[in-house]
Amino acid sequence: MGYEELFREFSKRVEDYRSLGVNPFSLATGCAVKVDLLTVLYPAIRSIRGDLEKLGMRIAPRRDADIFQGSIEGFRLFREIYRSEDDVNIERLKEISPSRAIVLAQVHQRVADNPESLARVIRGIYTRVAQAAPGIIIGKGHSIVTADSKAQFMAFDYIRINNENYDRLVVGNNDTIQIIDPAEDPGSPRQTAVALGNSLNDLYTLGAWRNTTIIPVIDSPSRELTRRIEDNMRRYAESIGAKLVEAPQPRTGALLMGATVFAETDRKPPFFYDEVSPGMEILVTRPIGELASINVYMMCMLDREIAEELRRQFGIDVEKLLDIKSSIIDRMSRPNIDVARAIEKRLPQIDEDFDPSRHVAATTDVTGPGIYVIKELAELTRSSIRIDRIPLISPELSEFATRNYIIPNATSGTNGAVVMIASPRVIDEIEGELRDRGEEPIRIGRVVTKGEARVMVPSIVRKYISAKAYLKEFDLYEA
Amino acid sequence: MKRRAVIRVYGEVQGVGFRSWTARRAQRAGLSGYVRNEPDGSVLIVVEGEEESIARLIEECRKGPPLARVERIDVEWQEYRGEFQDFEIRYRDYELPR
Repeated sequence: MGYEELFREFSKRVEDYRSLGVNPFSLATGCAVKVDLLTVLYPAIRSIRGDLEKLGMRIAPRRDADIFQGSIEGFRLFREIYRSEDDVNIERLKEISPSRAIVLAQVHQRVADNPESLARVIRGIYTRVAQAAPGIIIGKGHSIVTADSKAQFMAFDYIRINNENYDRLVVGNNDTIQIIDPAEDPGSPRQTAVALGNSLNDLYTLGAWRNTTIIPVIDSPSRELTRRIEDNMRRYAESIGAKLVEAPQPRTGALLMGATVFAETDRKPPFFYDEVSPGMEILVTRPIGELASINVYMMCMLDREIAEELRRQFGIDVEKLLDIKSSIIDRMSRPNIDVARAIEKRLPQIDEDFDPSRHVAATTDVTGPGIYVIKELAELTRSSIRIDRIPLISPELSEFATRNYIIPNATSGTNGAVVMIASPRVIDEIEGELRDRGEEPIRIGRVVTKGEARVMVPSIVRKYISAKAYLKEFDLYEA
Repeated sequence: MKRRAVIRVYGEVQGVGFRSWTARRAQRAGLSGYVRNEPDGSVLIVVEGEEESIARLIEECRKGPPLARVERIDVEWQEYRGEFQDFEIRYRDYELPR
């Protein structure tokens, strides 16, 4: 297919997506655009937390997944969708008698703009829930932004634990996307696979994959599209041996797909932040920067001037760009379960102590913040980390994306690469195992000292990140 | 002569690559300043440099990038202040994931 034809087809597809209320440019952040945690979500939660605590509700500190004692068979899940506090059925909630909940909140972009307006929207609903279910723990919240003011909702996945199992943990998460590849139909299996992979990756990062259960979140403007996404999810679940559980859906008509997911583990999660010590190494399970390449591709399809610039500056033509984009989406749509298994094997049993010569100390997945996730790890482990290299899928496309203002952080990733800290011996083992399974693990740095959270990064990172908010968090050095 | 302009672009201008399109043009024209999305759905451009280059940028903004639908442009010309070293996109907090 020639460029002109591709260009026309892509423009038409983007228009189709926009008519569905989806902004393909929000892909810059991978998942559906999130409410900003630091400036909006946390202040909003802080402002209502006191009142909710008086009613007995506890909101767990921020983390990528909810973790509780029990087993998949030992709890029941009930989903309730609320558009306003009037929808909270107190009698029903008393009947459910949940001990915890995973919450997905989709709010309009004007509401997401400041903590006061967000607090106004969520306070009423949380208060009614707290009144009806005293003692409930909000284990994980996922808050996303919509451009459609009529598409606001909150989905509470209530968990009633029937049977506490003390030798196992359940790990739960919710995540959603709108689309990942605007060149493809929203009902394509790859879009769905990326959406579910995105939800599952937070479990996999903690080494949890056994008895995986998927409770879909699907919203779409048509019954036909919803059915296609449902079918895709069913097939994806089968392919990884997961159980799919049906639940009520928001039905706002704005495109959204993802899931609340659970898996079980008999290991301690890799939260051994105090055990991280100088000499430990940092491994990333595969190169990062998926979102830079996807965004460059999108921009080239929308604006031939950019495609021409890319060819001129880096010798990458549209055909080559399509190949790169396609291989990235393929990789993102493949379940990341091998990484989960490799981590699980190197975690202590529930009743066992951490052993640095056998266990992984800490993990995180590379999402929208890209290489900045290392700073978060440095803060959690209170250590100084020296990064020797920035492992990009396409350094050329990441550099082009930065130079041409296409994405503020061209190291951004989604769905896959997991960063871990462990002793060199454990890193050797994982590197070998993942390589045997066709992954591309890369050692990227090491822990230098303990105490102060710092990340030393080669100054070449300036070629890949333009947002000063990220750059100022690093100590740059000339390699 | 060097001048400064505060430009507000209204219409379907967010979520269509308007900021990166503007930044590329401004950079090529040797202009400094910033572009950012506003909560009311418009795009704000604050730019300094040669008056002629700014005027050309304003003309280009009347059409914008391929997916944009520009309805109106408000321009306020001001004295040159030499406030900026380069041209940048200023992101809102929620646009930078953490």
